[in-house]
Amino acid sequence: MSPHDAFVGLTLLLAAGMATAVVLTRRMRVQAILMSVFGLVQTLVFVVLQAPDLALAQLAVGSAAVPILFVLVINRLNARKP
Amino acid sequence: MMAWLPFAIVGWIAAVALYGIVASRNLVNMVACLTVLQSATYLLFASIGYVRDAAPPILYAQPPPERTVDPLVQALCLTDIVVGAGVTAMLLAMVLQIHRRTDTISTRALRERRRR
Amino acid sequence: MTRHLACLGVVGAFGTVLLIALLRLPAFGTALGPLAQFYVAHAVLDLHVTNVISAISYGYRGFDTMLEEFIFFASITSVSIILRNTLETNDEDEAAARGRPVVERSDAINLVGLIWIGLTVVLALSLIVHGQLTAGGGFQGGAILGTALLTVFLVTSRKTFERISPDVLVKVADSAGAGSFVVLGFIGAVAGVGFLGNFLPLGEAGSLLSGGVLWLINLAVAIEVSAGYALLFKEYLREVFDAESSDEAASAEG
Repeated sequence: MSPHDAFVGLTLLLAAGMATAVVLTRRMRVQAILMSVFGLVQTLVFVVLQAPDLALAQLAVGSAAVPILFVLVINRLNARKP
Repeated sequence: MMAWLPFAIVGWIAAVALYGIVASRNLVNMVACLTVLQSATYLLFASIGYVRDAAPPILYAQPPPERTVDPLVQALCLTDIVVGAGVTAMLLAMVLQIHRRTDTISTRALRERRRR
Repeated sequence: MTRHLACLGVVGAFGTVLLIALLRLPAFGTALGPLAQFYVAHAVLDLHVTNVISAISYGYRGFDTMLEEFIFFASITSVSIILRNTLETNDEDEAAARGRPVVERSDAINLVGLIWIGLTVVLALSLIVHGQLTAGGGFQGGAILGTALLTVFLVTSRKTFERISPDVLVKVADSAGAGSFVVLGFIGAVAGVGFLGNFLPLGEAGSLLSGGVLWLINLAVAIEVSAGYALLFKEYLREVFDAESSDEAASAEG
């Protein structure tokens, strides 16, 4: 197994671990932060798998746009609770 | 082992995300697990397109690289990533509307409400 | 407890079927399929474009990309419809009068943030314009530009964000981006080269104005995606910050 293959395997295992963490989290705000980190890990996987276009798209969307939307929604839901 | 490990990891992420959707306690958690399921498909696309010792499919350098990874699969995945965020935003807007109408986002409470 | 076991059972069944299907794929890292080889071999010759992914997205398979853009447009429009509000206020003074905390930003965050946003916007514009040459393009650059606009809100205030993204401009840009894709397709059809066919001079591969109509489609997609994300954030910020005014109005009426 070449070093690059080992690197691919390691980053994919990291992605699997982050995905499990995102799903099994109990608190919503922590889940939003973990989703942002998961987006960064996905970007790393795309870079390692020689896909720079996917990495650029996922970097903006998965680690910035979507988690901020989640945080805004969570704030709104908590503000409305009496 | 490297021949099947990426696909096994994609299968694990998809199964875990599906478990999150089925066993979710509130609607925001459900949308987050759906996002993870979408990410599993992006990783699957990237893994299918990978070719060993190949360059990204950019032919700008002179001379162009001999082997490139699959550009077709990446083109499919690219629009998916950007548009998928728009769909997630729409799902979150629906969650907000449900909260406006019923004042709860707990799946158990909504299920009992529908049974009544 | 039984519900959890049922969930695990369903997921286990699905996971087994998925794993069997995934393990039948060709081994990881094997060579390209015939269609991909065709695209790599012919993208530079046919379209004079060196980014093969852009050539596929906006050239060979431009019709699919147009429909995907309409999915995006429809989802943004539905967010606007779902999050309709009767009252709208934009004022931080009113918020302070209602007793909500008004966050004071420090000067350090302002300075560093604005420099950072400037660099991000330049990067996004560079990615958009060089989409047909190297990695990048309308989708990536548009998403980064939209996120940079949201970062303006995070660093400064909502008033500044609303000032740099006025309602009319964002909505017109969103619709114009989606519509000009279709218009470019129809111009190609009228010119006799088929819907979304190329009717402009192709230019030299590797120069900035290469690709013909592909470059214009790239710009249209970038405008639509960035305006779409800006509109999305505006709707959500309006929902979050003007929620209390509509709640008070609803409780005052009902």
